[in-house]
Amino acid sequence: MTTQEIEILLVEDNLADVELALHALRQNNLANRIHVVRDGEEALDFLFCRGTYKNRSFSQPPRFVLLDLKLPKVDGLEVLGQLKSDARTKAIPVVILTSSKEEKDLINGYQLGVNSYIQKPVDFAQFRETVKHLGLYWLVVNEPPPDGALSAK
Amino acid sequence: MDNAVKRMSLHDRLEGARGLANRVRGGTLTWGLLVFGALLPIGLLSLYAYRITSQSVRDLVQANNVSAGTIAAELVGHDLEQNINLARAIAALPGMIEAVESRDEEAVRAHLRAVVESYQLLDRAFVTDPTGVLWSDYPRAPESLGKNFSQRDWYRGLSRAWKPYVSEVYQRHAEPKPLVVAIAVPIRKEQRVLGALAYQYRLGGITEWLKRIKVGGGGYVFLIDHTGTVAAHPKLDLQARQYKEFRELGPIQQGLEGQPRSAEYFDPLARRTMVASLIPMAVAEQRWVVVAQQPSDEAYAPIYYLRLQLSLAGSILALAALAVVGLGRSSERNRRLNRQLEEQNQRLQQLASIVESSDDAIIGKTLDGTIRSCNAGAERMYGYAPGEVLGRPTSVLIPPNSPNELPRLLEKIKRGEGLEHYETVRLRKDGQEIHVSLTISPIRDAAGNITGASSIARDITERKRAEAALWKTNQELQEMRHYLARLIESSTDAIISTDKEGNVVLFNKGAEAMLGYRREEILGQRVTIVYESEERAKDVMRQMRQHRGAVAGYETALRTKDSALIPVLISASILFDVAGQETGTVGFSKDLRERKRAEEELKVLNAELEAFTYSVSHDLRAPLRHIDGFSKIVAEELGPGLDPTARRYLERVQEGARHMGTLVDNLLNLSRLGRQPLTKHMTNLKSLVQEVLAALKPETDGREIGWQIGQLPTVECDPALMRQVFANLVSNAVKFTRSRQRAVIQIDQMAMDGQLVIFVRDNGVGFSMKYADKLFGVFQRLHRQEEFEGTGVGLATVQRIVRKHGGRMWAEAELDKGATFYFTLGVPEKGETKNITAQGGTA
Repeated sequence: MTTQEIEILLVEDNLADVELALHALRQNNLANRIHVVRDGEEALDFLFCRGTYKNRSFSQPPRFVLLDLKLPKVDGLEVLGQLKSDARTKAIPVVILTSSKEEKDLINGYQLGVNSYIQKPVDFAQFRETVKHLGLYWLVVNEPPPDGALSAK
Repeated sequence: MDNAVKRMSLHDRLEGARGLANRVRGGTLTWGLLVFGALLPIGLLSLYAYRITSQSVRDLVQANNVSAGTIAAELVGHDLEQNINLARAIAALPGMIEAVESRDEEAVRAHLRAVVESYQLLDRAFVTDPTGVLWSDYPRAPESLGKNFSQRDWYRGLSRAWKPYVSEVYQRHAEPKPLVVAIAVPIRKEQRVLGALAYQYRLGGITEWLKRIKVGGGGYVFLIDHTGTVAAHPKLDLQARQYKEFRELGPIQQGLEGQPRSAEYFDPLARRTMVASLIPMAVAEQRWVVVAQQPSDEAYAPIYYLRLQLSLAGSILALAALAVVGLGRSSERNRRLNRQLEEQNQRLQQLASIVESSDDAIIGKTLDGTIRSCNAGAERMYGYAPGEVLGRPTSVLIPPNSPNELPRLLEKIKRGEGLEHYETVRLRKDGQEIHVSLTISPIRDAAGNITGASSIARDITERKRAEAALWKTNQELQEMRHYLARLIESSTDAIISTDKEGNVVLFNKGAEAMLGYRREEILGQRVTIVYESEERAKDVMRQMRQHRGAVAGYETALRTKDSALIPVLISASILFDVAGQETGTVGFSKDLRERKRAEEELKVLNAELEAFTYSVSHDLRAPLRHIDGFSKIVAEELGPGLDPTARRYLERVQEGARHMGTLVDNLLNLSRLGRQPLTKHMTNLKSLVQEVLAALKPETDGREIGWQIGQLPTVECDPALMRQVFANLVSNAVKFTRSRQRAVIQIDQMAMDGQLVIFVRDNGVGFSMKYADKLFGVFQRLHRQEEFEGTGVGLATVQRIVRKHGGRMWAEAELDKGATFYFTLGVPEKGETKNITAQGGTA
């Protein structure tokens, strides 16, 4: 997996949610280049190419990050904040995918520069649709920044 | 003072003077006979006659002076005594004593005011403590408050034995600088002296009637106080300065020592030689002097004239010439002397007319009580026609139902004792009772035997009435004070009052309990010591001054005796007296500790609730998603192989999860409503309703619904929340008319009690009104889930939104006929208004 280009980074602590997400992505053939991290610290290690991920390179960022907010160790908004305030990572699109529709989470998310905020629907059919749209949008429809444009700065 | 002189009644004096006049007339006759009868030892006889005549004239002048002086002394003494009695009466009022003892300045001042305003000649009254420091006065003179008067004559005189005292005369500071005396009495409780009551009495009244007393040709009567200063004088402008010149004259000094006497001296003010009689009189413990004087050249004019005539006659007779001429001349002289005597008699008549014109009732009676003489004042006072009462017993003047004091009084008279300023009740002819102050003296004949009594009565009904009014005011004041005291003591608020200087003068039980001081230790201290800081105390004062003398709801902290701070809400005002003068402040402090604790608790609870709902929105939803997701995956992947029952069960699982999800969402919405403030805009409700209808299209498609949308107004409201209200009510209406072939849903407005009312009416299944009270409760449902789906949160949410807008909500329905939901928004019936202020937080 590490040799292959990672297109989606899924940050999710709940195993059931991970499975449902993978199931939805798999049905849309999007699951093959996804990497799952289970807490905020691991997400930061991955994104900033350190710790267990020190062999990764900033020149190969994920195409987008699916970020839960309630996370062990470092919470989602903190991860978002660090990501968006660092020149090397701030261009990486981040989609918050969370159970919360609390206003303050929405406001904080957008203020920190999140690209999209989606509440996980209870209805699995809707969830599957949402994940499908997300994958298609960020991997197919959206034009990423040019290669190396980020690490060069 | 010489009691013999004082006790000698007016009548005595007048009788004495008349007797003297007769003796003089007799003396003249002797002289005439001698001239006519014996011409030979003319020189001797002339000398003899001259001596007799001149002595008689001197006696007459002196008698005249003594009479006038005695009348004046009686009247002045009576007048001052009345004033001392008044002061005594006020100092003895229980209310006054209590007010002085508790140093209740306001109550004391009320008393002083009542006195000063009731008596025209009283200019000012004040109360000092036993050391002479003034602490209450009327009218108020701020510069005198707190001033020590112990060096003043009235205080020194009073404090010598704590007996009533009349001061030396002095000029008031206030224009037109009238001459006054301070009349001072002690205020006592049992034997303890609590202070001094003094008032200034203007002597102008005494001067006025001294002017009415004429003494011979060019003579007059004046009054000198115990220091030798002129107190009242008909000829001098006493407002210009004080006249102390007389104190240097020997006869005046002897008069002040108590010796009644006659004298001739040079009057330094009139710059003439005067023949005078000095009548000492007692004023409280002091001795004053009444002086009746006439210029000696005028008084002795007959003697000078006689001397001249005699020397002429002597030389003529020595020539032994014309006896007849001498006889004629002497008879002419005789006539002239008689004329002089007649004039003196007229002067006596004048004195009698003063008695006659006095307002006091002056009566002479025999020892058995028969009235023998009386003046017009007596007839006026007792209501009798002139002469009518003469010959009647004194008992007709005594009310039948009062104990007859007459025998006792007559007994005293027979023993030669008098009675001064005895207050009693007398009866008028018309039956009306009057209060009088009596002075009774025995009348003696020439041999000194007591033959009757004279009485001077002054009508004091007015004074008694004023005293009674004072007494009543005093009682009412006391009751009011007790009532207020109870009110203040029963309050749990700290009530603290200060004087003008900011010293604590009132500290109630509530304050003791809150601040830990006992009132004895805090009274008189600066009020700032109970404030958090000096600056705070000043700020409260500043706020009061800026807001018409009062401040309400000032939040600060008070400092307890052991320096702890207590949060309080202060309402305070500046106090003013009736004259609009600032007298101090009063403040009510409410203990906020309990409220602060509750607020803290609420804050904690709110934070907990916040955390709880946040956690609910995150964590409660996750398992639902999992249940739904995995059951769906199972159904899909095993779908074809599953038997229908198993598949139905899986669907039930999913339905349950979805319903639970809706419930959680609705509950979160409801709880969020309580915490969010309203964002109000002018909103057109009609277009809002149109938007709601458009959103409901999926549910209304294929249904036959008659929409009746009225002219809905534009009102100020939170549009997002108002959309929820209509969405809930309209979707309910759509839902509960599902069984109707043709549904009719009306959305309109009406007016009720001047309020705008919006309503949503349907012809659906309705409900029984006996469950109406359950409609708006959370999770309360009136229908089974399989009939009409729902969570039971919708109407609770709607009601909460309506209440947040300051409105109310209710419903009317009939089972199977339909339902109407009404709500108001706290807006008047003419909807379009911008005068609505935000009304957050009522939900």
